[in-house]
Amino acid sequence: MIPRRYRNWVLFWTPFIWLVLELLMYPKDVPLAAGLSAVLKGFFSARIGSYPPWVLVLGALLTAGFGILGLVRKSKARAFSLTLIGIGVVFALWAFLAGGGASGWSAGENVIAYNWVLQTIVVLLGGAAAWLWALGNPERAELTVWNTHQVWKLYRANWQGMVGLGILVFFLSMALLAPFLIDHALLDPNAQITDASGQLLGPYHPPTLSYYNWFGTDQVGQSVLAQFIWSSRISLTVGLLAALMSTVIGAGIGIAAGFYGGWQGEVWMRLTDAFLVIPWLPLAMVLAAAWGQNFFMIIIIIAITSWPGTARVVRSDVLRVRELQFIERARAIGSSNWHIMRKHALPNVMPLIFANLVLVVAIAILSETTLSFLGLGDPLNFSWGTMLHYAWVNGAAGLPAWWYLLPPGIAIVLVVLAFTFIGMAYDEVLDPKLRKREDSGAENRFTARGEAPAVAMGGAGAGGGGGMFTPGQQTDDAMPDFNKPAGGSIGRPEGGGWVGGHIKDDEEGGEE
Amino acid sequence: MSPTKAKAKTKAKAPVKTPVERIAHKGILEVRELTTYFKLGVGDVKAVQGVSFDLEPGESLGLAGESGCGKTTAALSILKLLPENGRIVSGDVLFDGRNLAKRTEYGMSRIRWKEISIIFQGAMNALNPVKETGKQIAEPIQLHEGLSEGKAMVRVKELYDLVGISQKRVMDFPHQLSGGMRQRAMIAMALACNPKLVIGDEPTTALDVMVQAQILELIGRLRKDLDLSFILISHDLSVMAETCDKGVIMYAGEVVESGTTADIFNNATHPYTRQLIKAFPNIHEKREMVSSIKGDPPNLVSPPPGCGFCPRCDERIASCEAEHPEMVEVEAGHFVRCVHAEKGV
Amino acid sequence: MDKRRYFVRKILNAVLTIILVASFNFALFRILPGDPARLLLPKGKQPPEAVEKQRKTFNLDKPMWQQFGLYWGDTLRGRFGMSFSEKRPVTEVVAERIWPTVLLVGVGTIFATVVGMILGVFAGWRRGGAYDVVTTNLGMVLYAMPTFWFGLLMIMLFATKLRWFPTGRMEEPGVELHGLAYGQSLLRHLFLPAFTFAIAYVGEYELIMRSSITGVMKEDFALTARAKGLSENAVLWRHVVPNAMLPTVTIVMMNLGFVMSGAILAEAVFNWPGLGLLSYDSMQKRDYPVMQAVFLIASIAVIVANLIADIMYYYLDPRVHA
Repeated sequence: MIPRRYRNWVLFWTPFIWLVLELLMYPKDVPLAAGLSAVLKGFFSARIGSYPPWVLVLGALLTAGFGILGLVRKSKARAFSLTLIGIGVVFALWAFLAGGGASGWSAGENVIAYNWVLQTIVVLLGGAAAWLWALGNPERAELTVWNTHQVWKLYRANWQGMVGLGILVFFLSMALLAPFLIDHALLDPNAQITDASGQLLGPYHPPTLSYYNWFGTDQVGQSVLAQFIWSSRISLTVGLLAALMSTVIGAGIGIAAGFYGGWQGEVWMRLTDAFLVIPWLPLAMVLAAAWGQNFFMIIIIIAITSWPGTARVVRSDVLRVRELQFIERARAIGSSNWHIMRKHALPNVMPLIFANLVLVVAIAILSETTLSFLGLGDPLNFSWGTMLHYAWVNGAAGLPAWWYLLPPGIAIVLVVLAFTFIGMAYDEVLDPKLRKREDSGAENRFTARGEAPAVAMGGAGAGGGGGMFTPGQQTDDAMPDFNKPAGGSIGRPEGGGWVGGHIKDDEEGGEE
Repeated sequence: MSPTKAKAKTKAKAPVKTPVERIAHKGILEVRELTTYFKLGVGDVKAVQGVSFDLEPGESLGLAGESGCGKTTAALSILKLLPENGRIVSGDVLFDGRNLAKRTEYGMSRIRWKEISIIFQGAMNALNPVKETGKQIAEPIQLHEGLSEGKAMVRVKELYDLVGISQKRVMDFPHQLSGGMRQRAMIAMALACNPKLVIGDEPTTALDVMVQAQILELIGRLRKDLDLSFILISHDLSVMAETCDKGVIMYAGEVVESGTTADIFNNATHPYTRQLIKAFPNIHEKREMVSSIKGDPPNLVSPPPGCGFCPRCDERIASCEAEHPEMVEVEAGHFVRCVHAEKGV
Repeated sequence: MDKRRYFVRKILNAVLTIILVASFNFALFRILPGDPARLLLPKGKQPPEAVEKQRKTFNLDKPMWQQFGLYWGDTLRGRFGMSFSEKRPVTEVVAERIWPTVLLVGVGTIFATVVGMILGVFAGWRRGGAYDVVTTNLGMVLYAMPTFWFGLLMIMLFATKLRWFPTGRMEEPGVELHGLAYGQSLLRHLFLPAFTFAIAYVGEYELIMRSSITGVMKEDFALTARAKGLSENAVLWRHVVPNAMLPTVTIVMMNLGFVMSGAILAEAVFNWPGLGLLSYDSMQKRDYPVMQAVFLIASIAVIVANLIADIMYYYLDPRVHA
């Protein structure tokens, strides 16, 4: 039987994910005033789930691939593998239809009326797959539940982590619910807002209690609140996607550099070092100026300028894992490199990669804001950086139109802070050394002032503004229940030392 | 560097004696019912609970037990070097007629190193890696005796001779010295101000066996020559047997057995002591599997009401779990905390 | 490792990286989509003769390997071509912009380092106390703050509202000042940009110093120092801080290389006529030769700063000699 808690997860997350996907592509042109039925109809509009076909092809390949792999390897959960293949088939059909059907398959998007039906089927099948996986692997499901619960218990005890999570949930909800909060039509260049009597408010009108004018108006008399709410979508999306891409590149190269010692590792390391010294902003300016201004470019620019930090951190962690005894044992009994990497090294490095990802999101959001501020952003879509750009070039600081400058800036600070807090809290949960005092506290004379243990200096030395780091914090607030051993297999004994470890790390790499 | 001179000096400026401090003393150090707690989020860790022992001038005492049993905390409590979350809850530490447990931080800083010094585990970290070793040794001399650095360095060189390091190495950084030399430097540092009492906290643990023997030999010789009182903290009973006159065995924050080293080794009475002794290989006897003590020590946040050792004890009886045994004198000067001893074994 | 081997290795490493970065710079303008000859011309009307001429000047008509050789020849001799917007050699345009940037960055860095380190030392020393909680969270907010936004707020508050400082530029336009008056005006103009530039680093250095201090305080030698009878202050300043400085100094040096990013933002917001403003302006005018030169200079600055950090570390930490 599958664990009760796991069952609850599936029952909760499947509809939740469905809802999020619905909201993600909810039509922007349904005015709030149109009434309940129109708003509800929006949930079944053709725009829902109208992803570009290449995304669907990728989804089909990944799910079907994993399913077939599971069948070939005769994994325990046969039904799970079959469901995955089923998802792949639905994706393939979806891609085929979205690409224009048999008459002309194209890479462009072709809006079909029943996108949302296909999306619902995929989500439901996904839920079923999760269910079947747990049926096939009850012990692993049990372990996953237990581990997650432990992590959450430790995480919950960290006030900074919880504050970060709260801020993030707030802004994510704002971004997802944007269509229901304020009309997208207000971003139209001609959509100046009016006061209660229908009078135009005009440029740079200070905030009033009228909803559209909560944050005042900009230089042409548009609602700053509307820009603010819709900007959160772009800022968060670009940040998340860029961080994801950067982490995939960085982690891949870091693992390769750490795992293959000798000249191969050395080559990867040299490459990383070369990218690490490239000043990111001048490069990004050159690229953005040459490649044109849209968010896809910005994501790529941020990704290729911020991966080396991740690569360094991951590499040093892989080096640590490689020396662990069980890896040597696996090598001794003749396991292949690929097997060791997949089964032993990756699970050990994965938590670090995730913690790092969260921190890179913070950097990516800052980077996006910076590029947009310099006028390199997408002129057609608002992000908080774009808002600040317009505020700057139109002299909001000289007026001073504080209502135009403050909201986007504060939002950026809060979101960046939230991701930093979350990353730090998660890092602390992972690293028993960060939170655990010695059991008796007695022999612990290393803590000269009885203070909570050291600080993880693992972080992404991202190209921009120097380095990202994970500053320490009041571990006292997060004192876990130390009667229990620290969370199962999630432990990560040593952070990838970036700060201070930098030179020693270099030595190590060089002598190999 | 004569110890008598140092003694006379401290006597001359002995502090004003309050009634608490006037408690009559027989030895140089007398620890009475010392209790130290660490404050943690989940509650107090009762690291040391009612520990008592005493030390005559020139005597050496071994404090042994597994890691986490509170032996280091007991030693750090004597000097009040506890971490910020640690505090002495009750008990007295009578040193040379003064009650250290009641002394202020400033008062303690006059006593630290000048009268009681510590040899820490000789690993790299007890010495500051970015300062020359000699200068680190000179530091307490300058501080407590008001000498200039030049004069202090002359003394450091003498100390280097005494512990057997070449004088040329005074300006070496710690990492340039070998493990054994670092430990010798640490000993030289401990002797810098002619203390009356030296505490050795696992002074030989990180060293290999040959160097261990040399260091122990050096400590033994210096102890005799300088007439030092010495407390050795070790998890290694054989080291204790070789160096100490008296022994105190601790378990879970309490003293479970104390007496002369001979008492403890020839007539071990507490089951824990016996198992500890068995846990060490004896090269003179027939080879056997070294036995280890199964199980873990109890949680010190909420210690069990009965005997702390009883879950791991082979000789437990029904009452062990509920009743806390008292210290019983089984023979003159030999105390044991066990229900079997109470019944008069 | 002996001294010479250490230095030689570090220097070789730096030279190798410079070669890599310069090659990247070469490739950058040739792998970009579009005709590099057109890219290297101002946007708008691009008569074929001008494109041809451009192709000649930048040797774009020759085979790739030959271009690569010629590029190196030019780079080593400091020839970066002509700036479109200024119609002057790039070298000349860049040269006159270096000193304002050095001034801004130098003052800003010194301020950030001193303030950040001192804040961090006390936060780490009294860890968990009210002071620590306040400064640490403040440090994190400063770190999370976009530099340019802070700059705009500064202008709004101190230049527009209070009128204590000018909104930008290095000197009043149309006013000739000399001697002391000039220095005073320069300082007044320098204050806001330098402060803005420094503020993000203050947060960063504070956090690094703090965690460094807490790490060092847990080392055994801190306890040894206390056991020796040293006062709390003596333990902190004589034993803990010298050790805790090592990682911080390294990071300050490494960050020095990345000043370009901070300088671009601070200079753009405050119209400070340095390299940062130059690269922002040339980006807007698509003045590629200038951007290319600035990019190369910025990269080399990073590498050199790293090299200096390595060398400093050698002298600061005796353990590296081992």
